[in-house]
Amino acid sequence: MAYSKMEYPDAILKQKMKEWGITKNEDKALDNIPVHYNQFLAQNYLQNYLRAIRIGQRIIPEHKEIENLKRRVSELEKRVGAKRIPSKVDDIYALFKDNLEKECFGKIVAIDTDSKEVVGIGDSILEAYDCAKSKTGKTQFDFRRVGYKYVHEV
Amino acid sequence: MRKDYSYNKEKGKHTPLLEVLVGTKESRKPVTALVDTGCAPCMSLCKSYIVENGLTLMQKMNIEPIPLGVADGHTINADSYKAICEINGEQKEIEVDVIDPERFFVEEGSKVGSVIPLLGRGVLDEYDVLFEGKSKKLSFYHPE
Repeated sequence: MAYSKMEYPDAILKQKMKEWGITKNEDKALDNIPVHYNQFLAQNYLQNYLRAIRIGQRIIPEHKEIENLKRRVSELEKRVGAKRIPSKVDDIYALFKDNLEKECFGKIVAIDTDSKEVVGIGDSILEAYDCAKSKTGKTQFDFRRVGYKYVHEV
Repeated sequence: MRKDYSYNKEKGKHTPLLEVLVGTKESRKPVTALVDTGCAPCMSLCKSYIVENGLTLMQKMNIEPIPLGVADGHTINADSYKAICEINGEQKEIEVDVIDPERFFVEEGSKVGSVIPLLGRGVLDEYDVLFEGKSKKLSFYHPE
């Protein structure tokens, strides 16, 4: 956590200066006291620092925090914006995509990459697999969910 | 079937975990899985869990890895296997998705270590499931 430079309104500033012992003479007209702003900031920072130490907070310099935020944004961009390089199955799926999305959006299709055909459709992988197996006699297929970039969500 | 939530001492939390038997027709091993309505497949496991626990599954159904969408936006790879799942003495054929963090999609990178097995909607949809959050109990009923 970084502590930003903050400016108190005049009234509060004067009050705070009194509390922290920067201005000791209460009778003196406060308006005439020069505000040693650097001194005030240093004291403010020190107080915050000591408070953070007391409650066990980690003190992260401002630039570290910005770096951290930049890293998180780039991770998010990578995660959300990343596009998978199409595989052989994706290419075959693309051939049937339009028809499939019209007829069975959301279903799972079993694709035979050798014959380049959709050989089974079902609500689950198991259903599509059983359908494809009975149709082709093969034991392994590839699967895609119609209209989605992933087959299941976990 | 009505079970108590499991209590995790380290986290100080009650979680709806259910022990089911998973494996082949001949041999099955107990798997403690989190009952997760946000998980679409019947069951999902990490590959490391299978290796560590010596779990045997049946036929692998896919050739290319199956893309799975994770709630945080990542897409991860999995292989889908047939397996037999036994819940309260009742056997069912289910699909088990085995997540392999080492075979991640190059475009994204791998950050998945190991997660607790998840019992998903593929199985839950066969029952009427009740999460009794207040009394920390989990109930599975057969729909009439």
